[in-house]
Amino acid sequence: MRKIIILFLFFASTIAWGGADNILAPSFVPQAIIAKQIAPGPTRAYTFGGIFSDCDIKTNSKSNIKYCETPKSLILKDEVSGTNYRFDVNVLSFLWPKTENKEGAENWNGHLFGGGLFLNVHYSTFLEAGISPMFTQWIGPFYIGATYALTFGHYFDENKDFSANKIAGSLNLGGGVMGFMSNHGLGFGLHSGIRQMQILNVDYNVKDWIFYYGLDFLTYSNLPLLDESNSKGHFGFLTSIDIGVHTEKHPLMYWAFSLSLII
Amino acid sequence: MRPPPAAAYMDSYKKDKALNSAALSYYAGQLDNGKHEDFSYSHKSHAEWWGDVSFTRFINSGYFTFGWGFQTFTPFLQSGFISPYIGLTGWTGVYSFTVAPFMKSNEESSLGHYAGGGMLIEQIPLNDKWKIGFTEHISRNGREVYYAYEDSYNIQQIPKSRPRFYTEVGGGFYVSRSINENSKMSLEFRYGRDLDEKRNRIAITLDIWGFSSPIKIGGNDIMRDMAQKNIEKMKHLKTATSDSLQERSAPSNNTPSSKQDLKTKETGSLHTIKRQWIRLADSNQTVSHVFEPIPTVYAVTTKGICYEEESNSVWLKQDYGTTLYQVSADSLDYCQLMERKSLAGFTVLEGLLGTLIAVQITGSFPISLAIGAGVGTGFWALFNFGLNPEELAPKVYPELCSEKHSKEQILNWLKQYPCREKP
Repeated sequence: MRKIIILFLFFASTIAWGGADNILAPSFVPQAIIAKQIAPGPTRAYTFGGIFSDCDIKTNSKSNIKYCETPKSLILKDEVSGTNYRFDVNVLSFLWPKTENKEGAENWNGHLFGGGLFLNVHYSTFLEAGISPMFTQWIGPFYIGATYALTFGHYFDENKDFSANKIAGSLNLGGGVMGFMSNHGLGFGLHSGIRQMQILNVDYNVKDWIFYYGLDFLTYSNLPLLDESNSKGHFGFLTSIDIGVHTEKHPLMYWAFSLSLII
Repeated sequence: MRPPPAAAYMDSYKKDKALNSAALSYYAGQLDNGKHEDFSYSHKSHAEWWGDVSFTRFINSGYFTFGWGFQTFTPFLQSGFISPYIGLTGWTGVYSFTVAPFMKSNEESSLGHYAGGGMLIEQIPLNDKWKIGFTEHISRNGREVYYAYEDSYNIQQIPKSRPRFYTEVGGGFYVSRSINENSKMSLEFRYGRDLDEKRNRIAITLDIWGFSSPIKIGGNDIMRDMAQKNIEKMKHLKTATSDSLQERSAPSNNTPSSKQDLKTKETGSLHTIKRQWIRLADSNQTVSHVFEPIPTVYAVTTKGICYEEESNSVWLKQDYGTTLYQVSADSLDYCQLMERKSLAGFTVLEGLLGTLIAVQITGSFPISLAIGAGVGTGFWALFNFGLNPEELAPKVYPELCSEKHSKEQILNWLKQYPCREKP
């Protein structure tokens, strides 16, 4: 736990200042892994992630010409982009069905119809915090998920002359599929959905729905060897990449990564 | 990127080992090569490659297979459903899936540079050695075109390789044969119809594959490795679970008159103590984590202990879980109580990081120092008061467990924690 906090603070403090912030509802994939209970026992996920967003002005032809541009009187560049790093943790979770066997088993496949309700809190660079209720439900190898982020932030412009407090919200709806290999303890998944995305700063706020897809790589344990391996409990570690695609009418796009420790 | 060969993918079914495949493909038919066009400010070379070399690795778990590899210069991922007779697979170029969509380009949509597809495979084993199979696919393929711009600055530019993407549907068949116990080969023929440029292409692929141990990055692989060491030790250790030895939290001056104690008298009970360092003669005597403050000193911690006088042995509790293990009283010595690692270094680090962040936000050094001090103090308070010190990492220093006690001293210390009360 300590190492996670140090790592996050280290990353946060070495990031070059400037640029706009991204508001994106968090991913539901770590929560989906918890709800599946493929690693029996863990109910909490600690996630560190980064988001890089951009706006493709070349595809701007059919949308409002001001969409990708910042007000030129305040900022010289003419295209909107943003960067964010975020640390996210579950504080509350309610899972179904209950997992009685937390030791695991040789042929443990998790719950076929596992699901859960979660409440997360997150802190993003810089000076942005929020809460996110989440929901996820499995149906065999597929799952659906929904998350909403309510964010409170204090934003600075590039020259630090102006600052403002802003409240923002973002919704994420989608689903995914995952294949688990319990002989190794590896999982591979795909997920996609639509998300509300905002790139905002003191003097502008660009918001749109964006379609995204992503790849997931999971390593987890569920063998009944807790005592023999002197382990406190089972764990999962998830790496995800998300890409939000731009189209003719929707020039916003983003690229995001996240690392989640599920314990 | 073109559709990968199918036979090796199908052979990964129910294989514990990883499958490694090397394939050589030859392309024929209406390929777009041999032509050169000159325009006023550019020229284009039609130079579609005549072949590809592919290296792929698959790992499997029953009906699901995952693979990764290179098709000449294109890294790709492949996975899907697999069974002895039917397979369904999808693949995608890694760059076109994870990087290209985020690039700004003249394409209207992010997915204009996408390469990937899906394939349905039917396999019929003829006998132990031979198998045949049929494939049907739909894919978005990528191929080479060389293009050079000419302008007033650069007249004779070298043409640069650029990808061109097209949609293809097609099918094929393959024959595969075992070479020996550990390797096989296949010959595959595939026809594809280019729907964008209306071309017919043929691919002939020779594929050879074998098996090797998979890399142990799975959580269960790691767990098995960790357990293996202790399972070896457990063969020579007497172990029990703490259900068979009931735990009691009070030290040993309970009166024998209560019903509870009568019960524990018969079965024995473990004493729960503050986490204590114990020095052992050998690291094989324990299934807990062994610390070596100096070489040849083997120290473990325990939160449970009891002394069995009849057998002159001691039961100790493993770090996590319910396992207890027995050690001869002659081969252990008691040491200090466990102390948690110092928080000083950690507090200073958090304070420094807090200062760094505050400087970037406020721009004022004195205020940032104050904020940093506050952050450091906050973390120290959280770890000092909020968390159980026995659960944190222990302080290990060279003098730990250096004091040796006499046999009498050890026995007197152990007699505080009898497993069974004397009548």
